[in-house]
Amino acid sequence: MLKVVIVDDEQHCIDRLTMLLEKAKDRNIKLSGTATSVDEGLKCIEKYNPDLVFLDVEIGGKTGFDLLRSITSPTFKVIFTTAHDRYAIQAIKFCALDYLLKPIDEDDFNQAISKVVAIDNVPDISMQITELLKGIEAKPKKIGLPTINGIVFVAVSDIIRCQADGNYTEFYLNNKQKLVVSKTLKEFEGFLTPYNFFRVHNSNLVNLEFVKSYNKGKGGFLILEDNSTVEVSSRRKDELLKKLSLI
Amino acid sequence: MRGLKFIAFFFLLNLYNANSEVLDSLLLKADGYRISDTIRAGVLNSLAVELSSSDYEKGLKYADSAIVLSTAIKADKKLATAYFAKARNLSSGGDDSLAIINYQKAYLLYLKTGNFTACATSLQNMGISYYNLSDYSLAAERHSAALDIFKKVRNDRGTAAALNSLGIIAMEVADYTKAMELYFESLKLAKKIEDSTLLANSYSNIGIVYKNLGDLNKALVYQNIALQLNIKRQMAYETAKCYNNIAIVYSVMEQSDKAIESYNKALAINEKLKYSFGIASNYLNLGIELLATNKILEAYGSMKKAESLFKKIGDRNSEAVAIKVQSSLLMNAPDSILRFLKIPVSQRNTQCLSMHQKALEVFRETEDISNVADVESEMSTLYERMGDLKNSLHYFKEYSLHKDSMAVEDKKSEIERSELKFQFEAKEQQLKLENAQRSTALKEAEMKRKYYMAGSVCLLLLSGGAFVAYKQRKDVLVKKKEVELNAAVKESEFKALRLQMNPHFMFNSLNSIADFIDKNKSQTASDFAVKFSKLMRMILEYSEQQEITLKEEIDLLELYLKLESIRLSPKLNYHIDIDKEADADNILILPMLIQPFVENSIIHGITPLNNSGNIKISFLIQQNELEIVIDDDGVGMHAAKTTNERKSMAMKITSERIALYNEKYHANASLQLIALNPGTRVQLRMPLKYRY
Repeated sequence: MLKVVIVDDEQHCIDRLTMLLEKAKDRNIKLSGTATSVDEGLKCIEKYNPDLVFLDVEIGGKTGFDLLRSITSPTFKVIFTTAHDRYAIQAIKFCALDYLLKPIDEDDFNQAISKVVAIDNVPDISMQITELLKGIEAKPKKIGLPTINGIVFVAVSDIIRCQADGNYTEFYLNNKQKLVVSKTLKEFEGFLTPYNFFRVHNSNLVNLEFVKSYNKGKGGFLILEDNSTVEVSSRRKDELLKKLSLI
Repeated sequence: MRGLKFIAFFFLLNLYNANSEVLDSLLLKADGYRISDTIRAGVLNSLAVELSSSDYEKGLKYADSAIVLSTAIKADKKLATAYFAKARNLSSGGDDSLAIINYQKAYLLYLKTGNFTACATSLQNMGISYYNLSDYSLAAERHSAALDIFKKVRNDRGTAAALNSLGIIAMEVADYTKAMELYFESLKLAKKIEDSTLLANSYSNIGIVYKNLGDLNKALVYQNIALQLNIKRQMAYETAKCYNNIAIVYSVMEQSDKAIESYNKALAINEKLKYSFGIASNYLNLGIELLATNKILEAYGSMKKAESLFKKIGDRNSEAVAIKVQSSLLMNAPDSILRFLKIPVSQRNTQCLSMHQKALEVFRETEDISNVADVESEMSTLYERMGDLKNSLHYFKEYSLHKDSMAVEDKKSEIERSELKFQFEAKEQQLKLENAQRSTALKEAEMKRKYYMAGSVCLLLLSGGAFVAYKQRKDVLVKKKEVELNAAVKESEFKALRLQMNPHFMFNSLNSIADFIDKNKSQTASDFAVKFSKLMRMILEYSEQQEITLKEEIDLLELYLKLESIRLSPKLNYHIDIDKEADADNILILPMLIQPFVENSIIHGITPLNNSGNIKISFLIQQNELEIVIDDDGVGMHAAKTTNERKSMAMKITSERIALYNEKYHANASLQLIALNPGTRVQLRMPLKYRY
C-alpha cells in the first residue's frame, strides 16, 4: 500500500489531487493526510511516514524546499506541484526529481504514479534533495542522471559529451566512464547549454571545455580531450566556430 | 501604468459664448427679482455654465435652482440647459458618473425640443465623462453619435471636437492609425474654420501619436508648431503643456539638457499660473533629467519638492514615484553626497529600504505593476547588500513575477507600434501634399483669424496622474538597442503571438468550460480546462522562440484541434498526416504558422455548416521543400465572405511573416489559397530547414 501525503496551501489543489488519487485507488494507493502549510506538512509526514509526498512549491510565505530542508533523511518520494515557476521547475528537473504542472492533467498524474509504483524500493532521495537545495541557491554544479541503477549525480564539468541513442542518451565522462541515461538528448541540451555545451550534430552534445581541436570539412569534426572525434553538422558549423572563438 | 502620459487636449463644449464681463452682468441679473421667471431661468443657466470652469460648487447651486424653476414653469428648453449646466459643473467637480446622468436628461429634452446641436453637444460631453471613467467603448459610442449629428447639422467646431475626442480614445487603446486619421481630419476642419485653438491642439495631439510610434523627430516638429501657435495666442496653460510635451520627447531622445530647458520653461509658466499639479510634475520630471545628467544634488532637491507638492495635492502614486526616485538616488550616490545631505553612510541601506517600502505599499495599492516591479528589484539588491539573502531572493522572485506580467503589456504595445508605423508613413506623405497646397492659404488665414470667445471651447486638461517621463526614459535606455536589433524578426513573432492569443478562442474556450459546468458535465469541463492550460503554456513558450521543431508545432496543433473538437463536439473531425520521411524532431518551422489557418477553417468553414465537417492537415516532404496542406470541407471562401475580414487578417500577417522569412534566409516560401468543392485548401510551401 502506497501511503500518500499532500502539502499545498490551496484547498482546491488538494481537492483535485484527492479526486485523482480516489480514481486511482485500485492501484493500491491510499491518501493518508493533507496539510496546508509547511509546519503542518512536517507534522503530517512525521505522523504518517508516507511513501510519496505531493509537494507544492510555494506554500504560504514558504516553499516546499523549506519543508525538505527541515527533514534530515527523507524516506519518501517527492512529486512537486506548481502552476508556473520556471526557475523552480528547472532546478527540479536538473536533479531528476518529478513534478506536475497545475492544473494537473489526469494522464500526467497517472504516468507519474506509474513511475513511482514501478520502483518498488524507495531509493535514497536525500542526495537528490541535497543537490536540489543547492541548486535553488545557486547555479547547480551537479546534474542528476536517471540510469538503470538509479539517479547518479555527476559534476557538469566532468561531462565530455552526450550522444543520442533513441530515447536514451549516452554520457561520456572525464574519468572514462560511460553512463546510459533514460532521457532524450534534447532535454539535456536544454539543461546544459548554459554550461557551455553545444549541440554540434543531431546526435551529439559537446562540452566545449573539452574541445582539443577542430578539423575543417563540409561541417568538419571535433577532436575532444578523450581523443574521440565528433562530426559537426554543416548547419551548426558557423555557430560552433563563433562559440569556440569566444573561449 | 499611470503617470507616463502626454497631455492630450480634449474639447468640452459649452452652449454659450461668454466672458467675465458677461458673467458680471449675469450675476447682477440673477440677483434682481423683477425679471420674469423664464428670463431668470435663462440667466441662472448661463451663470451655471459659465461658472463650471471657475467655481463649480457655485455653478451647481445655480444649475439646481434653474432646474427647480424650469420644472415649475414647464420650460423644457430651459430645463434641458439646466441639466446640461448641472452636468458640466459635476464633471468639473470630478463627479462624472452623476454628470453622465444629467447629460442624458439634457440630451433627451433637447431631442424632444428638436435642438440637435445641443443634443450632439450633450453626447460629446457625455463621452468625455465616460472617458474620464475609463469606459472607452461607451465614450467612443457617444462621441461617434455626436459626430454624426454634428456632421449632419454642419457644425464644424463640434465635428472637430468629436473627431479629436475619438482620436484620444483611439490613442488610449493604442490604435494609432485610427488616432492619426481622426486628428488629421480634425486638423483639416480647424484650418477650415480658422480656429487656432483647435489647430494648436490637433498639432499637439498628432505629435503625441508620433511620439508613441517612436518617430521622435516628427513628434518634435508637431509639438513645436503647437507651441508657436499657443505662444502667439498667449495661452499660458497650453503653452506650458506644450513645453512639457516637448521636454518628454527630448527626454526619450536622451537629450537631457534640452529636456531640462523645456521643463524649466513649463515650470516658470505653471508657477505663474499657480498650477500646483503642473509644478509638481515638472519638478518630478526635472529631477529625473537632472539625475540623468548626474546632477545628483539638484535632482534630489527637485524630487523633494515634487514629493511635498504631490502630497499636498493628494496624488499618492506620483508622491510615491518621487520617493522611489529619491531612494534609488541615495542607494547609488557617492558617500560625499550622503554626507552633504547629512545622512550617515552607515544608515544608507536601512533608510533606502524604508523609503522603498513606503513607495511599494502605495504602488501595490494603486496596482502600478511597473513601479512595483522596479521597487522590488531594487529592494532585492538592497537586501543583498545588507547580506539578507532570504529577503533578497524573495523580492527577486516577486520582481520576476511582476516583470512577467508586464512583459505581456509591453509586447502588445510594441507590436502595435511596429505594425502601424508603415501605414503612418503613407498618411504622412498625403499630408505633406495637402500642406504644400494649403500653406500659403493658411498663412493668410492666420493673419485674418478671429479670436473666438474663451468660453465657447473650454480646454480640459486630461491627466492620468503626473506625466512622468521616468519609465519612458528607462525603457529607452534599456530597450533601445535590443529593439532595434531584433525589430524585424520580433515584429513577426509578436504578430504571431497576438494571432494565437486570439481572444475569440480564449473566451470561447472559457465559455465552453462554463457551459460544461452548467450542463453538469464536470469531467469534460475539467479535462477541457486542463488541456486549455497546457495549450496556453505551449503558446506562451513557443511565441518567444524564432523557430520551433515541426514536432512541437504538430503537438500544438493536435492539442488545439482536440480542444476545438471537444468544444464543437460532434461537429469537428480532424486528421493530421505526416510524411514518413519527415524527421519532425529536426525540421524547423516558424512557430504557430499553421494554427491561424486551422482556426479560420474552423470558424469560417466548419462552424457555419449544418452538419459536421472535417479538417485534414498534411505535412509532405518534396525534395527540398516542406509542403503543408490544410484542407477543410466547410462552406468555402465565397460563402464565408461576411467574415472575410479575419480571414484576410490571418493571411496578411502570415504572408508578412513568410516574406520576412524569405528575406532573412533568401528563401522562396509561398502561401496559396485554393477553393475546393466543397471547402478550402491552404497550401504552404517552404524550404526544408533542419536544425542539425
